[in-house]
Amino acid sequence: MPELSQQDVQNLAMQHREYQKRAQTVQQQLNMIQISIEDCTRAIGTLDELSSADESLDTMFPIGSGSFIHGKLDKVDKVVVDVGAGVNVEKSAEDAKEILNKRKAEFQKGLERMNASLTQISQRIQSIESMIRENTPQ
Amino acid sequence: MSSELPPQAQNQLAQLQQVQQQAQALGMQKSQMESMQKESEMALEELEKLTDDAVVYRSIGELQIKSDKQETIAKLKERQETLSLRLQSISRQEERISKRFNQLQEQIKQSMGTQAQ
Repeated sequence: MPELSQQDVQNLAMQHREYQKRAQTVQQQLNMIQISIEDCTRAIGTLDELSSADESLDTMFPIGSGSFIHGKLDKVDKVVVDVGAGVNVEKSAEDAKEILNKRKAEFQKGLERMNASLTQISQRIQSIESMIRENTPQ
Repeated sequence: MSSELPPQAQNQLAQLQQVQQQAQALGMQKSQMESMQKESEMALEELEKLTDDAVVYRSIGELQIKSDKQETIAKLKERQETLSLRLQSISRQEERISKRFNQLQEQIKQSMGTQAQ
């Protein structure tokens, strides 16, 4: 491999920094997608649990700071789902689950794409590191 | 390194960096608008699937206001139009900035060339 000039090393160091920044951004996006997937899973789980209820249920509503007030859940067969752009639509529990499952699948696809992109960036970072290591006098 | 450059080139370089920052900010705005547009499209798709008497709510701040399908579709279409106009304006600004960037790049090259001679 040809020896690197001082200028080449500086350029590689700059590229290394850029890739690291990009990896950080992708990692943050990955975490956000992961949180959204968990959110969907929780909502689907709640609808599954409530689907077996055929009458109103005693429950507690969170009011913050680990405190609750008692209440009753009725109409558990109707769910209002956020469909984006500030629009929420009333759906049957089954239709709502379908929307949530589709949304979760989209998030999972995004997660796979992001993971692939993170792997690519990591490989580039590693290749820059090995180029610099090979050119560093022992 | 920039201290070795002639003052004119230094000035042009500073302008180039500024233009680059503007281009980045515009890029961010554009992708935000595009994702809002995509979101509206998806919401419209969901609304079209509903029966005419479906119950629909629109978020206004922290409130959920009961609305109906047709009214919400009309609001979303209006929003899409506004977004599309804003995207057009961003694209025009991007074009201007890109021209300015190339112009400055050329000027810097010329300044450096003059210095080298």
